[in-house]
Amino acid sequence: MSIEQPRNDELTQALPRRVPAWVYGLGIASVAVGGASFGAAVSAPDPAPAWRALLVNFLFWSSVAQGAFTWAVTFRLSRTTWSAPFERIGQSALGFLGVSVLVFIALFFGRQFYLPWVHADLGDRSKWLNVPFVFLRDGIGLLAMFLLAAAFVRARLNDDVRQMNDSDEAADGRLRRRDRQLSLLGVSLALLYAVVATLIGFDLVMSLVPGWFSALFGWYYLIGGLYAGMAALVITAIVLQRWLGLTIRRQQFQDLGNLLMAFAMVMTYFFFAQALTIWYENLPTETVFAIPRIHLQPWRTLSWVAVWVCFLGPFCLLVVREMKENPRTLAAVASLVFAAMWFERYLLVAPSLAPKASGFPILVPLVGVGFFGMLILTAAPLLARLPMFGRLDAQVRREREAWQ
Amino acid sequence: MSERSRVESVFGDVPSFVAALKRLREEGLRDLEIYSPVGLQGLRGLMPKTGSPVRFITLAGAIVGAALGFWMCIGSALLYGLIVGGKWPAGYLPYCVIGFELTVLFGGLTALFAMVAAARLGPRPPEAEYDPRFQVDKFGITVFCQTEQLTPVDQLLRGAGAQEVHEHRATEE
Amino acid sequence: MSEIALREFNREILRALFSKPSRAYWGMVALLSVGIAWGAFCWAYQISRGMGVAGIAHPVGWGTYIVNFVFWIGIGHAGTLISAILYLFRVRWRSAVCRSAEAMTVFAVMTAGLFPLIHLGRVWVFWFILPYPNQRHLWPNFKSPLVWDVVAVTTYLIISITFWYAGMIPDLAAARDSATGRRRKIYQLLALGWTSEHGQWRHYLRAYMCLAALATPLVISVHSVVSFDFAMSLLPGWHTTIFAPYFVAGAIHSGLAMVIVLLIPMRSLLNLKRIIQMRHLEQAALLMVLTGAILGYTYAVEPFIAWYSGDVFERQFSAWRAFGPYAWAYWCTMLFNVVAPAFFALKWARTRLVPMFVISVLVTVGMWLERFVIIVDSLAHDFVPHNWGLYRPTWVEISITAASLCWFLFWFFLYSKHLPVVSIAESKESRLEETVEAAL
Repeated sequence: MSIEQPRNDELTQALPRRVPAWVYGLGIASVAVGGASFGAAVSAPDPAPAWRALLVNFLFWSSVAQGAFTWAVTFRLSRTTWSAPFERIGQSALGFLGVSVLVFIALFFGRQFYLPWVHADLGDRSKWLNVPFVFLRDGIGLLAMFLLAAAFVRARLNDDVRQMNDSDEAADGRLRRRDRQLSLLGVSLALLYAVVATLIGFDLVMSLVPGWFSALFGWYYLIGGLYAGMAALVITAIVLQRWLGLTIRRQQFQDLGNLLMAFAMVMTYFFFAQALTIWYENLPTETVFAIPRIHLQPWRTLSWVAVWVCFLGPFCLLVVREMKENPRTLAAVASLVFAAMWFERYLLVAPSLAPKASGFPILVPLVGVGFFGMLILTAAPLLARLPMFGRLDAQVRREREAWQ
Repeated sequence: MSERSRVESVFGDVPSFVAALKRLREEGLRDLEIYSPVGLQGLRGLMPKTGSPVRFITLAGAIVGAALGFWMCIGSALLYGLIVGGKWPAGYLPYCVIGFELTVLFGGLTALFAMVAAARLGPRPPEAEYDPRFQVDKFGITVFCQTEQLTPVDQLLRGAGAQEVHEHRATEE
Repeated sequence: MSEIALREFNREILRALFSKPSRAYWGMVALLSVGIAWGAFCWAYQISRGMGVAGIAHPVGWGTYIVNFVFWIGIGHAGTLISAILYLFRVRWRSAVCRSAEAMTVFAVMTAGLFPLIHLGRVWVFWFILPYPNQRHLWPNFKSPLVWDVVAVTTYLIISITFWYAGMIPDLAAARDSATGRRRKIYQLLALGWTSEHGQWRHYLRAYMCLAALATPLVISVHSVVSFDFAMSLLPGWHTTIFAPYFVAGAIHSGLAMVIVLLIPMRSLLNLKRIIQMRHLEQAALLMVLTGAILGYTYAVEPFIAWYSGDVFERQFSAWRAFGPYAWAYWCTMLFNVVAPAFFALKWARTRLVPMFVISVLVTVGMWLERFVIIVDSLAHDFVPHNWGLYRPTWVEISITAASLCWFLFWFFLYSKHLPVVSIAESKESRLEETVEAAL
């Protein structure tokens, strides 16, 4: 089941792809909108909503970038050649991984507005939940992810472009070494993502409700990143198909749709596992998280909406084969997932910090527009330079064919 | 009873088999019986019929299972009507487990029965014309056509690379 | 690597069915039958003398039998993973191992299903839990995880058998064509008149896809429901949200290990090395690296959250589990389930039969110990010091545990001689995939 790809010499001639000026314009304008909104809100007498908006968007957009890059690494490690272009698209999230570090540093300055435990007495738990340790470990984790990801992209890019110009004999030896190096980098990145996403889930979301805990929460948060990251990959692949020079067959759309559907199922499952366990015992230390989301408006209605648009809805839509094979419908469902996961991250944070809030603050999506702009500005230059299929992928395919 | 005119062919490899299917499709000959040792999902586009009602029947079975699961749980809880912890006797979260399991159970069994019914399977020996080589490594195409078409179809199949071709004329009543 | 001709798949895979069983085979079957008979005797002894002959007593009311139940259900999961989930993702290497993996699932679930009955003591009242309309207006409590268990495990058994059988129909037809005498009649009955006609394939493939799509969430739900037996309780060490995916990952881990343990001798004894190749086992071993990593993650998160919760009962239990009288089992679990399979990341470990077999056996033992640690420890050391106690299995429980292994292997031996152990049709389809693409 192969993706047709241009010949190697066509690839080298086609790179770098030309990024239209309006794309950068859109990115800059979006960053300006987000930055202005945040700037105006943070200068207000009560800057808490600004910092909370920044937190929500950091949680969502950084997990999209981390999830997308982890997918790139997963595709490389699983040595499936049909996914080679999607691996490259996932790699383009590298730039935003760096931006995440900067945003996280910025979040440090507003910590007292969204972390309720900053000035609270936590007893011996303050050994774990204290400002220097939290920001240090999470910051180092994010930075390490960015640096490892950069090394991964560099190794891949060097080989793809360089070895297209080499003879077969010269390339083979280097390819094997590079294969091992990429495997090592890939495994490290995957493990690091698991650790970093778990830490961020525990430190920046779970800790928002003092005394609340859920052992599955870190895992739930990291799976959410993979889910949103896959949705982003699907949207990018379909929308930019022609620009990237891809010919994606119906079967590949179905594969992507199956992955998205699988993760919709996994997210539903993780959500249900937590909800059922907490509901069943009805312990106050656990239900404190659930009660605003179940009993207080507007969270009650929004939670039901989130369950349907985030988990059950996409699953039911993607069960139908025709929805997956058609790129338009697949892109539409992926867009729904993308938006719904943003909404889900908002619902993880907002009811914890302001359980009796009324209405939906426009500030949060406006700041989100700024993050969207940053993603465009960091991903576009990389996408312009990345070949969608390389010599290493061809070698993997040859090895697979030799098994037959 | 009259038998229909047909040309039976046997192919030894996939390329000639696919070539024959393509030629038959070009000639508009769609009344075929095709035999292969494997499912050949990649050749769906060349087959005369592609749909199957199994999917929809399975969905119906799954929905019935889900409804039955929730009905059984909620019905029995309301039968007892015991108020525990100030909550309504029936709880939707725990009943999702039973509802889900019965969805899968009924859906799975329905899929099997739908397959058996749609494919007309049954605990009987295969028909007399069955060639066991189609279970091993041969591919077969039987083309049903008018008597006057027998020779051109024969030539078409031989031209595509058939190893064996047999013509059968319609018998008189 | 030499290309296998299509007819050779039939010949090699069906050879095991029609060749005369060796003396060693009959010897093993006899031995396993003796083991089963001994287990049946022990069960009868237990019924006649009462549950006191087993080691379960206050406070550890769930012991070896429930450990075995959870263990065997877990073993079955890899089969459904390989046959259903990997089918949906069109992973090619599954075709050589999926049939035996599914068979392993069916027999494992059959084994697991015995244990709630054995554990019940008065086994004749098991039908109380079945939901059926009766004149006493008695219904089980559908909010109870034990009732969820009954429904989930029964569904899993039925769907596994359905999936296994449906996938075998074309191969049973191949066996029918090669068989003679009474065997031919039996295969004929089972093959349902299959003739490999496209109309049959069309509906068959659609049904198989539907079954795979249904079995996929089922495999996740069944062991989650088993985990809910514990997670829905209050006990320290049991009541935690992570149990559902933790159990599922552990189940797949143990199942993959059992697949390797079974296939390594089977491919030699049945001369199937050309079809079940090292690379198939290697892929299973690689998956174990992933499941082992997931288990490692869970082993780290659990005590952390116990401490983070600030709950004095959770904290004291976590410490006792790691340093108390059952600490040996706890640390063996870490070693066998996380450290040992990590060696599969090294190519030499996953391309040699001896390390593969040894590591897989260690994982199987480790996963049994993990269930022991989970079930027994929490019961032995809960909230009130006056309630603490220890548990030691008796000869009855040990005998029945050994007999369950004999029961499982007995069915597997029977299957290996009477049903095609490798999917003939799917193996051929994998071989032909590239040819079909090229022809189009």
